[in-house]
Amino acid sequence: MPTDSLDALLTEYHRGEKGTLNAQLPRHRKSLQVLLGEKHPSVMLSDGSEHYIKRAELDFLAGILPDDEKDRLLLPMLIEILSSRDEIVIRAQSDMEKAVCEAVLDMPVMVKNNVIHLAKSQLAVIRGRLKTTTQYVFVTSNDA
Amino acid sequence: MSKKIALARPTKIELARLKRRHKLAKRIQKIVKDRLAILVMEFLQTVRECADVKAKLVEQYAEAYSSLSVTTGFHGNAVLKNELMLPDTMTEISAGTKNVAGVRIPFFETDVVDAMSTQKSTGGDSSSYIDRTSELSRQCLETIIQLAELEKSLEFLGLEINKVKRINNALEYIIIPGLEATIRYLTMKFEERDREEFSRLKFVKLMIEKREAYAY
Repeated sequence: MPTDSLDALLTEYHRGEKGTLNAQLPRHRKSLQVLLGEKHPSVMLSDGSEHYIKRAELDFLAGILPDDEKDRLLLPMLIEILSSRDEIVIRAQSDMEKAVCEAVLDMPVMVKNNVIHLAKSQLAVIRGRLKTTTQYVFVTSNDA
Repeated sequence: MSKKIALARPTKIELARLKRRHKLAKRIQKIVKDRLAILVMEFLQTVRECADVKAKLVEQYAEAYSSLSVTTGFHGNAVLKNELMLPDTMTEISAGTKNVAGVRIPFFETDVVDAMSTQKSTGGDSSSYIDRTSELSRQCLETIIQLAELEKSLEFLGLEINKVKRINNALEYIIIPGLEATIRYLTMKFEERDREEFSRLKFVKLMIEKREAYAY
């Protein structure tokens, strides 16, 4: 096997894989308030495609949060998969993320340094309830 | 046994390059494994959901058919056909895509629009039987659309899992072991070369010492 082509292949694949992994990241996140006002709620992703959000999920989130704080929750919520540390976290920019996680998991969650740590079983519950209002972010050791 | 990569020149530069490549391959494997774990979790969740929706659909169908047979018996076929020609509600389907861990999956959402005020003038033949049958049929339609979305998601997720698994296996069983074998081979070769060099130097030193001893 020619070594230079393997080198190029691996580098190219690494770049491609990182691109594919985070293709689902939104270009701009929208607040719950804005999404509730849209006829077909959607956000634009980094690969240029549209990601549609289920209205039932938005209504569920609207039921959890008080009316005056709906503009503080940005959607989709980002779930970070830190491959270097085998951790799953949600960055909580406001108390809204914490309130949502507590309502979905039906148990209190702890926020430490604006980060909510999740177990894998909890991730499945959150993804089961909020399929379109959450997105994965794969963070490799280089990015961390 | 893993096969080592054929090298043009077994040099130290090549060894450094191989070590860098090995590190990169390991990093890719870690990313691929994480992605695979997430995709499998999503797939299993979709399978469970799919089974639930299928069971729900069977129940809804049974209920809808029994309601339809009662309604047909009460009104007769002709009246029922006439009544169902213009439904009092219409179901709108919006289609789009959603992205799950890099996999684009179809998205369908149903919305019930009330058509009563614009289309239908309530005739004297309408009854609660017809309304109930119509409502149950609409529920069946919504569940079918939900099931279609889930089944398609399963298909796409399955294809992606297969693809990622193949990449993972190639890395795990061919590329990384090959790189490791080549690194091991080169390291041993250089160590052997060092040992040879060391013993050669020792021998030369001994020769020089002997020569110097004879010179006196």
